[in-house]
Amino acid sequence: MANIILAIVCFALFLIDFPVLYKSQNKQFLTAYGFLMLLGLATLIIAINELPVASPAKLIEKLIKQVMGGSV
Amino acid sequence: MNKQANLSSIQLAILIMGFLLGSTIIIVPGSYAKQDAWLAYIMAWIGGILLFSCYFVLYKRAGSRTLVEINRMLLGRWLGNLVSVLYIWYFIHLAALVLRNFGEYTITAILPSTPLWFIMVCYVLVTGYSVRSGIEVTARTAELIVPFIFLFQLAIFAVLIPYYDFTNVKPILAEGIKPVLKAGLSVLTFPFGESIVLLMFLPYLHHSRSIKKTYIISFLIAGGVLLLGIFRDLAIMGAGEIGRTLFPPHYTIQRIPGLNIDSLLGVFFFMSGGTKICCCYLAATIGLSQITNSRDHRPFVIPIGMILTGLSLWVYDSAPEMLAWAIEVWPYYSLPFQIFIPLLLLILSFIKGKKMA
Repeated sequence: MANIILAIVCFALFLIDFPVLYKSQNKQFLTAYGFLMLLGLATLIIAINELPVASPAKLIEKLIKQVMGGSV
Repeated sequence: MNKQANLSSIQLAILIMGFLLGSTIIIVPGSYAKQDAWLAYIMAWIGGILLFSCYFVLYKRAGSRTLVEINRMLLGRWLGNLVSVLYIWYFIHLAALVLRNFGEYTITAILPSTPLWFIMVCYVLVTGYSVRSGIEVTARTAELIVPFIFLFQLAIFAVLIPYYDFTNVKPILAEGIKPVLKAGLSVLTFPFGESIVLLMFLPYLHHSRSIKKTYIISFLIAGGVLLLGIFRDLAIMGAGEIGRTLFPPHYTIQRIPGLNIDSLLGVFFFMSGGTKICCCYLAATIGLSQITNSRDHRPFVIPIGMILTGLSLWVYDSAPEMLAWAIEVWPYYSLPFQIFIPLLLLILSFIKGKKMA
């Protein structure tokens, strides 16, 4: 149910920007917009469904520990 | 975004102060140094002024451009855009962390029965509206509310003076200088070094000659208020109790006899935190519009808002994890964005010399 509501809300939000996107000839802008929308949707799905995906904070912590040799 | 948008010096100063106070009103980043935390704040305060001097020289040498434009100019199109994308990620991440601080504080201290997601969504809607309206609206909103935060902080400091226990700040440097240096780095990167975000707004100032003066005055005032805050918390609660609590200022304020104003602290945190989130959110959208050669930053407000909401919910499992990450990991994670890359850009600007002009 939460996913359906999320899909409806995202579509409604997309409609706000649709006139600007429809008129735009800038491919870079359209690509960036599409990518960010998908990224936003993915993070919301992960957060709402509590999927077991490591958060960016944990990945960054792991990376920093490796770089610093575990001294953090 | 249209660079004709004009910010006055006072608006920029208020924006800087609101940004620096941000979530530091309720979180104490230098608690690692225990009773010497105030020393760490002073060191970070001085370091912050030096750091901003670097940002300012870079900005002046690059001919009043935003950080994204500076990256492109000094590093070339591809590498410059790659570094800019990393910075945009950093701004979004910072906004998500402040948003999560805000949510955790709300459910811990003010609205314990309200779901976290609902608080986040409400906050993103408000800040998103402000960002969509542009930098002038964000600055005017800050102009209206940030001065009250100063008055409130000063009033709390004064009211609690009779209850200060000065033995809480002694002995000085009992465990040597090392913990103070580590805590100093923590405070330097949160909140002082985060002012790198402001490099995205400086070109929008009406009189660019007054930037240095504006920044130094606002930096001194905001740093002074933060220093008073940590000294107040130390003198009232002591280092041990600060280490055991998530939001020390909230409990300090509860010590005022016959006066229940802790929820007012929450209100002021919503305002200063809102200013900080708006700055980061706006910097990310302006950066994206410049990378994609788009004239308008507004179409990016909704996708970034969705990412912010999702990321702030996903990023930590609990409030203690949030606090530990902010104190232990954030300083090292921020070093490249706040110190290494800006210094590299500054060196490059000197190497390229007259070619840039």
